[in-house]
Amino acid sequence: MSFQSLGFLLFFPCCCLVNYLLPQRARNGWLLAASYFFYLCCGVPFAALLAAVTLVSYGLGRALETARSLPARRALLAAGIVAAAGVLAVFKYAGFALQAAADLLHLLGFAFAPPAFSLVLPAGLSFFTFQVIAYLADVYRGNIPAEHSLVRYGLFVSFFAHILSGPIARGGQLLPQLEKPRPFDAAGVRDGLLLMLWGYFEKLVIADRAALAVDTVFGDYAAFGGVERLLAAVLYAVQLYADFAGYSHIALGAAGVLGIRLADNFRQPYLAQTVRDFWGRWHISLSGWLRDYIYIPLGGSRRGKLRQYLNLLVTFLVSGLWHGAAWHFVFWGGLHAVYQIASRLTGPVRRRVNLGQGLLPRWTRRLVTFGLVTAAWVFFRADSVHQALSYLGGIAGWFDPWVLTDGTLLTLGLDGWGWSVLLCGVLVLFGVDCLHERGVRLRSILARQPVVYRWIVYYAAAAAVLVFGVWGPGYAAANFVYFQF
Amino acid sequence: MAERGKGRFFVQAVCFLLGFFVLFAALSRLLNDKMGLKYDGEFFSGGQQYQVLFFGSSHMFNGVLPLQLYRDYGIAGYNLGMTNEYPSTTYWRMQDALNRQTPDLVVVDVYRALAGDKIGQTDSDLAFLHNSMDSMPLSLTKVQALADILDAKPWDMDQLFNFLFPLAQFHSRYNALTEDDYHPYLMETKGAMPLRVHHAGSALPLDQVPAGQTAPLDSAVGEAYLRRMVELCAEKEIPILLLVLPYQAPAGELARLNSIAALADEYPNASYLNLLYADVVDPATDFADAEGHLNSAGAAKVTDFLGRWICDRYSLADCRQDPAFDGWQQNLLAVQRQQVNSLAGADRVTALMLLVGQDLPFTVQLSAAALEDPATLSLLETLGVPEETLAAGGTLCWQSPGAPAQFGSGDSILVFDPQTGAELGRAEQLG
Repeated sequence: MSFQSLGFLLFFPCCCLVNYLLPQRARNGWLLAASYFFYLCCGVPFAALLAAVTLVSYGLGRALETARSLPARRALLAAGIVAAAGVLAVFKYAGFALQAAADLLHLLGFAFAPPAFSLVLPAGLSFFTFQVIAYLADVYRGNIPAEHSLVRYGLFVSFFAHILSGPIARGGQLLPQLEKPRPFDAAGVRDGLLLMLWGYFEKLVIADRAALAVDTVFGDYAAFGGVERLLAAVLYAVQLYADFAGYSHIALGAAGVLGIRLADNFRQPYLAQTVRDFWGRWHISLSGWLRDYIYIPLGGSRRGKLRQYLNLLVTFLVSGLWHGAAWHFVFWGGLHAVYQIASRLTGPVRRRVNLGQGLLPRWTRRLVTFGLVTAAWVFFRADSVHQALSYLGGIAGWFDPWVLTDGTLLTLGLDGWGWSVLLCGVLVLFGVDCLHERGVRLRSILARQPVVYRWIVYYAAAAAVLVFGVWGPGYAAANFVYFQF
Repeated sequence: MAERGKGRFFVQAVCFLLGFFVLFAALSRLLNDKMGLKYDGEFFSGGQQYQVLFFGSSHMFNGVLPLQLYRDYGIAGYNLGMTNEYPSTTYWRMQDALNRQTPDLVVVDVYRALAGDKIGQTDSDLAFLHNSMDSMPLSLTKVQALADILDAKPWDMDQLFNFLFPLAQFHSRYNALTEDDYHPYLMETKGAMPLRVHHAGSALPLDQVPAGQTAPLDSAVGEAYLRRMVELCAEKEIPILLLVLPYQAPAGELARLNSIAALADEYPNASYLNLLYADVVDPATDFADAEGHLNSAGAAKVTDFLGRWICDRYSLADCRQDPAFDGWQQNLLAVQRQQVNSLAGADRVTALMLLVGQDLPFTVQLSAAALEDPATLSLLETLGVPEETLAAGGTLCWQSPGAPAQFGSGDSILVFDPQTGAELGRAEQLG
């Protein structure tokens, strides 16, 4: 059940209604049942796996709390990490690892045909396994107490708003909320619904529309010149952002309607002025996870420059691998590590030729950062490293700006209206981001307006999504891109 | 206090949702395709009782003209046929229609009973299903119908939703809106779509397959729904006519269609009529395309035959005397006007074809060369030009009864108002 399916649009109001009709003490149980129903729609075996991961990590958490000796605690933590990562490894990486081993052996002159290994990846596996690893590490470190209530813990792991595509919740942030009563809060419900509407706008109007052009060009990139490829690369950057941020906003909004606050996952990422800044704004829950549970435990920046660079490389390679079991994802992660290392190496030079903080230097830095991130996204989107290199090579080699005016754009999967709608959507998206960057909170401003004005905005937004969104059988509306991770 | 806040929010939420439904309905009204609405909107707007309801695929949709039945036989009928309609869809449309109306007779075109599937799965099949179902008002029957036709599973409601609320399909039509979408109009043909084009068809293989020769229908799904239709009518005590309309039938289909006679015999309320063998139409003049969809001339002939057949077997009141049907005369004139307007620019055969069944005075002037064409001669005969006039040779100048002695220049046809004698339309340069 995806957020844009009719099933969810029926499930969610029923879930909320029953939640608020039930007494406070029964709500966690209800939400747990609803979350498992939601997840069962992805398949019964997946739900069984989720339950198993939940029970094992719950038991290990309780054991960590009672274990006194450090070796025992370490062993318990290691067992939890191995169990969670093991599940991830089997379902997500086994086939990739076997193929990589076969390729390596082939290079060394040994013939090895890897056994066919193809398992269906359980939905949201990467998210909830990282979540339980973080929980166990936090309990081990003493940052949070082990959760005693199995219902609360089960809900923490399986909450329908974040189970499929995050944000990756932290125990310290979410579990205390589940302990407290969550009375009905009209303003919170309104705010959550508005956030969901914004998420649907991002996903259906912008991301899925951009996908039509992106898929056309990436699907047959050899037939397109540099301008079309550049445009598709930029549009892919937009698509990915609108898609994932849209999903996250729907998730945050849905949780908000139920009185639960999930962590923000995006903070105007394309307004970042450095790649490092970008990673503080993009998929924040994953970036934070990688920082807290990989980069810092590896030593972070505390053990000298060389070790720091190595730590960065490892962290970003893990990030790449987390996104997908393929070399182009690993390359994408490695490229971001290179960006970060290069940024640190060139820091003194850049500080010497300080361009200042004026409008032009600020936007120049943003543009350069966006260019670097977009180039990296090509590796993320392509099917292989070779394809991405070939794609990027073609941008420089065959650059014909006339295609912008000779009607070629209308052959990229969007007609004139489609381009107009996409352009307007992108302008709205970045307009809102610019306002947020300046600290202007549009939802708060809207909430203070008289009901008539608010409703006009709500209806206009709903109409925009209904009319201009890519949904229904008219288009094969793409699933949320991040489901595959 | 909290309870008051909750109550206020609840009231606001209900009001907002009502507004949202209005918005959704308005957008649906504007953006949805209007095909079904144009042809079936009048039926679903209610207020009129029909004596005969016609169901089926495009053969019915294009082949039976209720306004002509009214004009010539006083029968009030409505044509609920629709292009590419499968028997599963026809059954449910019949179910819905019989929930609204109690006709004296149901006529169903059985051609699509040859289909092996409940519904095709191509985009085109699903688009045609929209034509059939979108105009049907939302009801439990419609939900049941779509769930059955689409084999919808309870856990996969998206496709059902797409048909219950067609905005899901048509919301992206915002870039294709025309004035018709802002001011939707209802066709005045009582559901029929006369085709105003001519295609020279080939002779039907009736010699190869005589009417008595049958072959298994070989379509479990089609037959099952056909039986359900007959049983539905039996349940409501309504006679049903299983009708085969003329089309460019291949020999293999003829024998299969002939087997429906036996099916009809099993039910006391069912009759069977196969117009392929009734020598009603001339394939050379009465088809609109290669598949053999009837053009307006073919439809006029079939309608005339069917009107007589119905009047011979059922005692239906003459609706021409009923003030409730006064508006039908206006509809008739409007449709006649559309037909006459199509004359401009039409070629000779098409122009003559357009006049068939219109019951309008006209004059025709054709050169001897034009009269060498067999299709032209056949149509002129159909239009009442005496054989001896046609055989006389030379240029044909003929006026139908009631037409003034007024002719166009060269090969031409002029059509006149039967009341005032004023010219309604003309087709020229028909050589």
